[in-house]
Amino acid sequence: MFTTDSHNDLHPEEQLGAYALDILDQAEAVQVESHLLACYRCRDTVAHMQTSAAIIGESVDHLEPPVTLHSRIMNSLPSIGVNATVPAKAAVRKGFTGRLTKVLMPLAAVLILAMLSYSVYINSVLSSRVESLQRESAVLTRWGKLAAQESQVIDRLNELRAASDFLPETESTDVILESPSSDGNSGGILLVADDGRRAMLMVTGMRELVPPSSYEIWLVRQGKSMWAGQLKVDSKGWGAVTLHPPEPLFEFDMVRLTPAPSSDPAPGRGDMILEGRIVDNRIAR
Amino acid sequence: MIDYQDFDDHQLMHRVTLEDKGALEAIYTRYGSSVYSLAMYMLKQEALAEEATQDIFLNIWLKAASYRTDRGEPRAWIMSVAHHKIVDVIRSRRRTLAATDPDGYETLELLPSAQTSTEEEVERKIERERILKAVATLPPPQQQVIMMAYFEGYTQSEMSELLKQPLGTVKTRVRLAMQKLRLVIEGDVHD
Repeated sequence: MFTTDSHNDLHPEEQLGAYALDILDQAEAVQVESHLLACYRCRDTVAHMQTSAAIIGESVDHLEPPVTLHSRIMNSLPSIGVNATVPAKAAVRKGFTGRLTKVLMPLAAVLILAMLSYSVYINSVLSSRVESLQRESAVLTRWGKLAAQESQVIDRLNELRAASDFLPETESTDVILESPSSDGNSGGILLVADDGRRAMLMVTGMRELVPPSSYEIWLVRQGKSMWAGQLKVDSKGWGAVTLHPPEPLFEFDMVRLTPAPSSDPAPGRGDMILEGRIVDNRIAR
Repeated sequence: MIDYQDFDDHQLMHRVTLEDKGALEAIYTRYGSSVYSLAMYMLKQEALAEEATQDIFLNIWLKAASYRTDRGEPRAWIMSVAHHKIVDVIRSRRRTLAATDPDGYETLELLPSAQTSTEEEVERKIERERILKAVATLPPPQQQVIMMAYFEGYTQSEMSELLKQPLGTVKTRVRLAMQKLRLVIEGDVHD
């Protein structure tokens, strides 16, 4: 059952506790999950309730697992690529997420349409992602939705979900990231929430790094760099990540993206490094 | 050489999405015993618990990208993945196991007492006492549904049948219990 708040928005408050305990019927769970995609308030409530549930789970007697279990787990890890194997139960779960994906596909498309009015730059980047998603969706349908490929689509949907959190925030600040050497076709944009505590970084035209290498994100203040996260770029040169900096982003001068030193000991290509100057426009607004 | 001890849980989770096996190994070092302990407690058989723990860390490896920071701490997400998998095992085996007698369900006895006195165990004992205290604040009917839901994996409909209570009553108990637990546990943390 949904309840309404002061804005007449509907929230499934009575089901959130059961959702956190994973005891809803599948249809109810899908309904709640769909709502959570668009509702920060309920997501926050579920996060707190899941933390409470996790604490219950950690209250049981402490037992050390057998020493051989560690090596068995590590030896069983597949590559998260097309050859990934999923245990039987996980495959059942994939069926659930598969249905959810079908629900989310049109939702993702609506999100992208909303972005058209926000920024030409973001539009060009994410529109290409929608086309990519549609292509992948068609391929998945045609080839029986192989689990690993479906997982990739879900990953991208998650990126879009994260992006969607910022789109309604018309007060967010944009930071354009460019190659300092002005060559190459790479670029990026950092959308900073008004409190500076949350940001979404999207890049395009970057070179894909071989996992586990990735791009490193740095916040620069008075010449000193602070590590802020990592970014994985896909084979099409596109990547996105949500940042939760320990301090408001507006207290830094620049944001910089570099390849991890271990992955590329001699960076120098124009499309490998991006940087952008953080300007606090909030007072001007 | 990367020293994973320097990474916090968020950083480790991110590295797992980049297929960094060392990061998953570090997560196993931190939470492997918690996950295995929960599996042993709920499944009560070593072989099943080991198999479940292996599947849980495989799921963490495969699904790390679906973790979102705005949905709680990695620790809670990991335990949620673990709980979900263990409940899956319980539900699939329930058809072949005798049903639990709800009349004999003494909820607080489900939380075992500490058996060792190492520093870590002392901390766990304190944590356990905190949870006991939180659960003890719930009225017995609410304690019962929370324990049946969490440790036995019963759905609300199943609990309604077992307890011979209307489904709406069970749903209300679950909702009130979770809201109160959240308030008590978080209030305790903030004290």
